[in-house]
Amino acid sequence: MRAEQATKGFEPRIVAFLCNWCSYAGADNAGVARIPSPHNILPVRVMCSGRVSPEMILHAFRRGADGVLVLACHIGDCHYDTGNHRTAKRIPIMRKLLEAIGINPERLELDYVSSAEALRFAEVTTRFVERIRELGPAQAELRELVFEPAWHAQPGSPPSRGGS
Amino acid sequence: MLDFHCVRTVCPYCGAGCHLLLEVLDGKLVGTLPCKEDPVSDGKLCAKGWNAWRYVEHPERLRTPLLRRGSVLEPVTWQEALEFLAAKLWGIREEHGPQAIGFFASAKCTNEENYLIQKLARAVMGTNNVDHCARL
Amino acid sequence: MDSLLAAIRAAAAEELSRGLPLLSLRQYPWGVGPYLFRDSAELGELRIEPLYPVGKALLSLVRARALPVAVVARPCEVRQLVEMAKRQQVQPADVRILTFSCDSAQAQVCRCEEPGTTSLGWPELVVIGEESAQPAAAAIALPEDPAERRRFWAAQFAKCIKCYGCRNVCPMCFCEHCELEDPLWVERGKLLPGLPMFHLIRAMHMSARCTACRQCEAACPAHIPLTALYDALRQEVGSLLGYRPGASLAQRPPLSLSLREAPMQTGRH
Repeated sequence: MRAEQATKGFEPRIVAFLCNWCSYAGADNAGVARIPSPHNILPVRVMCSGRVSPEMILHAFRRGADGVLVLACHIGDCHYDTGNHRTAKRIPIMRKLLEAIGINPERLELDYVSSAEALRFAEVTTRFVERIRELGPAQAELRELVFEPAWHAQPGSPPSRGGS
Repeated sequence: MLDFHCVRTVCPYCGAGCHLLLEVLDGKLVGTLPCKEDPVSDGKLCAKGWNAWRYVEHPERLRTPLLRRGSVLEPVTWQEALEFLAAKLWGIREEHGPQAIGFFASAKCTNEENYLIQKLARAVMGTNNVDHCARL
Repeated sequence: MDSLLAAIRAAAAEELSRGLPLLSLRQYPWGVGPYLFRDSAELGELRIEPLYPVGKALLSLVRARALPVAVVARPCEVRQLVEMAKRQQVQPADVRILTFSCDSAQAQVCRCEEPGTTSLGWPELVVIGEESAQPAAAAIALPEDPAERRRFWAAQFAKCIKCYGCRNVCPMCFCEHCELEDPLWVERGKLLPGLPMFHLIRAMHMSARCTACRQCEAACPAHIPLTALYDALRQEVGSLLGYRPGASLAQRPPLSLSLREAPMQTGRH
């Protein structure tokens, strides 16, 4: 693992929005049970996955995330009955938006983890981190969305300015 | 029954002079629309034009001239303000000559008003120090 | 067109005689603009040029409680009224709609997929004239390659002068608190603003409510093809949730409903 990281030289930064009632407790239990889960995850506790607005996801990307993971309660288990139903609809549309502007939609994922599923939390996060590791840094893609005459004049040359 | 109509006018903010429609509901301004028949703006407005109606009834809008006395700005009549201004300008001209005075016109004024200010500068005060914010 | 205009004026006169004021476009001495007709003697000045969003003017009347009212609305504007009604901006019973089909030439100008009138479940809706329009192709094709798409949008969004005109002119943008005015999401006073948050947030908000009237593009001083982005999301909402904005008064906005009330299409969950 360590050798592989050294060759690739890229550690993804993942912002994970965790629901207070399920996935946050699931992450907590994973820690208590000493189940290894990737350290790339920056958890943000929200009271419900339905709280995670498109603005918050875009903000995470803007502030340097390589991937955004939203972990909700399983459908039917929402503490507020149907909060996660909204998320289940919103995330696919958000992925379509990313695709339409040329950002790989695989950088945004919705999954379901209950408070009892510590093992599943570790699996889901590990799988997502590996996926983002394959995709590489998001900031190169995002920076291309910011117009710069210098690189725009020469197709193929990478942008040089730091992210906002 | 309510009255709702539009008034076509010119945006007061800059020298481009985009036309815009003001929406009037019972004598109160309620919004702006870009004028689609205006060849200057081609039915488009900038942030200023879109919000040009908001200051009309804004509580902080200046409605009289203010004259600073000590540290306080006091409302005065136009007559008083203009007399004060004329005396000051004339005093400077007497003491230091017309070259000590400059006139600065505005893009928010009409062509005619800008003509008048240069006339005031050249013919009355006797200086060619005339400039305009659009040249900055 | 002249016979259609005459028929609309006749229908408008009928509404006025019933005591309903009528919101439409009028030929003023200086040009065309929205107007609330109250006197049938003025109806010779009624116009139907597709210049201004009548829904936006209607919201001013609704907020001043100047109801009930009759409205002359194009098909896209009727769809907007339907969406407004579903979002509690206007009560269908308060607004009587006179509508007509756009012609094919207009559909081409607007890149309109639905220039014809449809029965949308509006309680008081009068259709004038005949359906004559051929739908036009809506889509502006986006580049196939993701990197090309990024560059395409970078060049487009870089032209934005943040006039907020697209939002101001949009009849579907009626929120009193607008997320686009929150400096946390949309930074102020910064040149080269980084990720084009304004446009991405707006695109998300338009996904289940844009009726493709293209007023935003017409009002954009920078000629940004905004609806290319909105169309992509609208189609996704259509295929994912089976929802077409403005298509029916009965079908409620899916993004604010549970999966029981508005399920996703099978195989997409």
